[in-house]
Amino acid sequence: MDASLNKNVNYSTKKKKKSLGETIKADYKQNKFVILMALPVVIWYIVFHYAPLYGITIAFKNYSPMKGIMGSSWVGIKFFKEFFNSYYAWRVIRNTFVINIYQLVCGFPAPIILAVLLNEIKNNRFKKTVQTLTYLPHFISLVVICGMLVDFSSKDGLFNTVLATFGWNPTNLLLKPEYFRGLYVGSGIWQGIGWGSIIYLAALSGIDTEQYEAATIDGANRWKQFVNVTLPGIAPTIVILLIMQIGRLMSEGADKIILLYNANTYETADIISSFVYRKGLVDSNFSYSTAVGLFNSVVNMTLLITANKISRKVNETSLW
Amino acid sequence: MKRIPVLFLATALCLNMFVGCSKSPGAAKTDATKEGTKSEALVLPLKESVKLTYWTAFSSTILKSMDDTELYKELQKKTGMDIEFIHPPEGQSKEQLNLIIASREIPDIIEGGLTEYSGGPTKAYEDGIIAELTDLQKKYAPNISDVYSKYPDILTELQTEQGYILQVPHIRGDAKLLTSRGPEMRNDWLTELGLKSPETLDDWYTVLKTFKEKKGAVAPITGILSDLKKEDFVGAWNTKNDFYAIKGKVNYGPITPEFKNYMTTISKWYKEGLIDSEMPTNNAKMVDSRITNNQSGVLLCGYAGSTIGRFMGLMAKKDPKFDLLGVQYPVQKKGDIPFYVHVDPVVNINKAGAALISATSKHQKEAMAFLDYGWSKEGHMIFNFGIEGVSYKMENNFPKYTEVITKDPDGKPFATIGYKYMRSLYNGPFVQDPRYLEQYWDIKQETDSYNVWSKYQKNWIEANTKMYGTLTTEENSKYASIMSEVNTYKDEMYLKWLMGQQPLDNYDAYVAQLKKMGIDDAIKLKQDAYDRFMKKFPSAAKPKAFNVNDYYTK
Amino acid sequence: MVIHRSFGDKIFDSFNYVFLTLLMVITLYPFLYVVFASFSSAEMLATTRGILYKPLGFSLEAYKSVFDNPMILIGYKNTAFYVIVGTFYNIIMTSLGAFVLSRKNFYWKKYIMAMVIFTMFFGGGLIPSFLLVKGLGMYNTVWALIIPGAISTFNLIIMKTAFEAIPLSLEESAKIDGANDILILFKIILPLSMPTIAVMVLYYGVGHWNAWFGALIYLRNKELYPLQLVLREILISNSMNDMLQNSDTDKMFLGETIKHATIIVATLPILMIYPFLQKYFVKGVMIGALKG
Repeated sequence: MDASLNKNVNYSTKKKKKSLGETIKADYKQNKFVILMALPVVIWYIVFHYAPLYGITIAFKNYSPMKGIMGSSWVGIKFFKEFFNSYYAWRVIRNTFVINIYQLVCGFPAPIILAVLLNEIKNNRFKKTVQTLTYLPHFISLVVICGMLVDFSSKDGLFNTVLATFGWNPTNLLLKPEYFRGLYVGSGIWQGIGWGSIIYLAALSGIDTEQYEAATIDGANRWKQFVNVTLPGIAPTIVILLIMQIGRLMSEGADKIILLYNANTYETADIISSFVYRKGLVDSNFSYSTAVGLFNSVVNMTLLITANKISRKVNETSLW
Repeated sequence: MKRIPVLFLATALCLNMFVGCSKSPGAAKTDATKEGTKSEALVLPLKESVKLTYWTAFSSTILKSMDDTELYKELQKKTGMDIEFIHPPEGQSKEQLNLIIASREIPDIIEGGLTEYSGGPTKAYEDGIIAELTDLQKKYAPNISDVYSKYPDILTELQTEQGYILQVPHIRGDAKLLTSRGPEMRNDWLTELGLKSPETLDDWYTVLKTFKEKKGAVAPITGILSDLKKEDFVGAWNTKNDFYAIKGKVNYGPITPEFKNYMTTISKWYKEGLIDSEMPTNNAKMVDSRITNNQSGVLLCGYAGSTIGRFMGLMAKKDPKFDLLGVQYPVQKKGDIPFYVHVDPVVNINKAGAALISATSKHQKEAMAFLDYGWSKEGHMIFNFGIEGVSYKMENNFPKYTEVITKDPDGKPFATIGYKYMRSLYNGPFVQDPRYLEQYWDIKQETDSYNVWSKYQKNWIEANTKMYGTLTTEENSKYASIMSEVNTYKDEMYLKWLMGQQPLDNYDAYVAQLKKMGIDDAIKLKQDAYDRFMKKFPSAAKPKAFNVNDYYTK
Repeated sequence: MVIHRSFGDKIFDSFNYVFLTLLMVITLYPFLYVVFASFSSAEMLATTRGILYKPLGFSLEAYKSVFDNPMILIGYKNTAFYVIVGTFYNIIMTSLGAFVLSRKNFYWKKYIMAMVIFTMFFGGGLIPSFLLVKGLGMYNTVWALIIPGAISTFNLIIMKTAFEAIPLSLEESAKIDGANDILILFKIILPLSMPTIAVMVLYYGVGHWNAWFGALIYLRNKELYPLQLVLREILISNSMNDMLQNSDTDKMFLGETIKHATIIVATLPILMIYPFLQKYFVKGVMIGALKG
């Protein structure tokens, strides 16, 4: 009989508590090669991620390049206080959150829907063409995309011209705080839907064809097949990516925001990173931006852990 | 490929510990008035070559490095030194610089005034990164010292409040080099409509309305949003969108009643469609399109070279009548002297072009001597005009560029080829000679615009409304906190008023809010810095124009 | 097998085709715009706004400017190296990590997972990483662009999920036949995860292809510059030239068209690689084949 299976049976029936040493020894015996394979990965993480971790202390110090990180003086939570005391702190935090929620609700499902629709296409050539062409905008630089967006949103631009045929009164869309999120998230979908669908297409192609055949034999129609075969097949992928997206709710790069916002849309467009960026123009303070970044990371991690916990309870898929 | 992690964890930590533990040198001040230091100038070219590392931005479509320029080949020959250039990739010099400093390998010469270093050159000196130059200059820079002795006003703008000299500046040697920006209008339209070049705001209003009605200009005034806030235009209301000083008292424009008048006028103009409705979201490309498609007739913030030169060249074929010309900075009443005239400072420090020497360099003498060579009569000509006989020839005592520059066989433009031979078109640690400009500006409108704009140059210099003084690191930190909020709120209200979303009746509430945000504290910080400066350099209270380049031509 | 298509099915299909075509047109437009703009005359592009239906006044000026630059071939060569060697290294490291984290009865799994997740949120920042790379002797070498970026935790987690989806029975029967974990990884897990591996190759490969920031920080020798950094420099130096140009129509306003040409120059090779990877995304290729 297979030795490893034997061992498993051993562990689950014996009720006595094993010492830590015994557990590790037994694990080593069973997973010798696994440990060997884990070694380079673990070492890599330690060297390249954990060794530099002391850099976090910049958030709590008055960093001076010449003094180095170790030599700079401690100031405790001074920069955190500075951030939270600023007049706009809560506004930018709120905006960061809201824009990310928009992206979650609208942007997250979009590539999934595309992948699923593509999956239903029988004509292989059409399918391949759509696949190949829709991912292209991902490679266009943000500067160009935003340039287009600014042009289209202007009073005599494409959007207004089209909307005018429905009786809309032309107005510069990027000057209105109420439209900013829509434009921001919408253009994100425009640029990313194709590229984002790739991972789901891969997941879809990993579903066993036999399952579809079995379902057809059982008389399931297309919709039933979708619900009972397709969805469960890509569910783990969706859940994992969703959890990781939730773990990014407090981050958002300033690049696109800065290219699209203006003082009139600060109300909805100014987010943490763009606010910190503007402050950095007046006085570039490494410690300040590190502190704010640290705050973001802590919130993100909390969200991720919570999302993961919930996911574990609700279904079997979770990050850990 | 994999190494022992512990060793490297330790290495990484040790490296930074070491960095932290070493004492920061250079905090001791040198006595700027040390007597008895004679000039021990090095004899150039050096008998034994010395290698210097040189950090500077470099951007050329035909060359890989400044080392490839004829200019620096010549300079290295004449000084007998070997320069190794370090060029940071464009737009990322700040990160690069911080990293270079963190790794302790500070280049012998750094160009760029260290603007990107938090706290500027003064802090860089106190942190032990750059050297204080007073002594070095006295000993090894006879040319620089001579120029400073003949033009002591340079020191007023060059020395820090503590009396340090930290940079070898870029000097704009002549009045002609100081003014290059101002409002521009379609001169062909003005002529066609029988309008004179406008001077007062009322003139402007008439011109704008006529452009709109008679020439169908959809957006008579165009530009990017910041153009509207530039002092060239805002000066018409005798204020500024920033700090300025009137007779030694520091003011912050955006809380003054004059600023309210300004906002009232431009929101009226905006409502009447005289200002480009898309201005808040305009980028450079859209502005170009407005001008070249005859949708606009006025640029608030044009440059003689890059705006007039570009557009005139572009439209020459499409519309030969197209004529862009500078007009006077607008004023309230006829005969008024403009509150603001674009005048770049004579002494250009804290920006690209100024050179600093590393505090830890082993070749400070040579570095100083190398920089000093650019200020010698010989070096001055090389920096401004290139190699005699190759890129320029002396004709009637005037350095005229040869066809190598003006008629490149590959059709490369003046600026591109010029970069190979000289730095006069750009900044650098030398005295800029106006005679380059006279040849660079080959379109009549450029010179004419300059004449219009510079009419009141002297007046502006003597009115002395510019800000002086620098804040200490602590003060700057407080200042930055206040201003980042003030700026956000101010910019928001600006747009709301401009576009008519809010009435100007609540101007007082706006001022009150800014005060709540601490603007008065910021003003006080600036005022204290200003007063400190004035105490140290009383001659700054009575500035006058001076042309350093005369040193080389008289 | 005959599949009966109901009327509802047919309606859905037609809508699907229409919708996808529309989507394709919309998402294709940015790319088309860039292509048209890159072949346009610089002056005409500078003065036109709005949608482009074709190049404005055909011109190869932009491409000439890009390819005239002596650094361009160096850029391509270097990037090819970084992509091939880098991606290979990525896949190996990430597969090892994903495999280890997908084992069901591995005592250390929890700890390694926690260690990995933690790094998703907290990092030391640029300066310590820079000092580390210097300390390891990788500064100004090609390895600085390959080793510190070996594993993307995001990709690692995706791979782990894919590995976990492989039925335990396959693994167990292999173990019965005497296979050790290394063999299991290479002979069973990897072949069955080809779609995911293909995605990883794409993600990592494109990542290397587009990379420029690492090069900017860690490389001083221009001969090692990757393509994107070279293109950035070309773009910026031309834009700066635009600022200074004086009455020389031919070379004016080139900055705009060059901006678009650099995108095409950078993207074209990717377009050619993608079809090769696409076949891995075809429905249900592998599992059935292996089982049979």
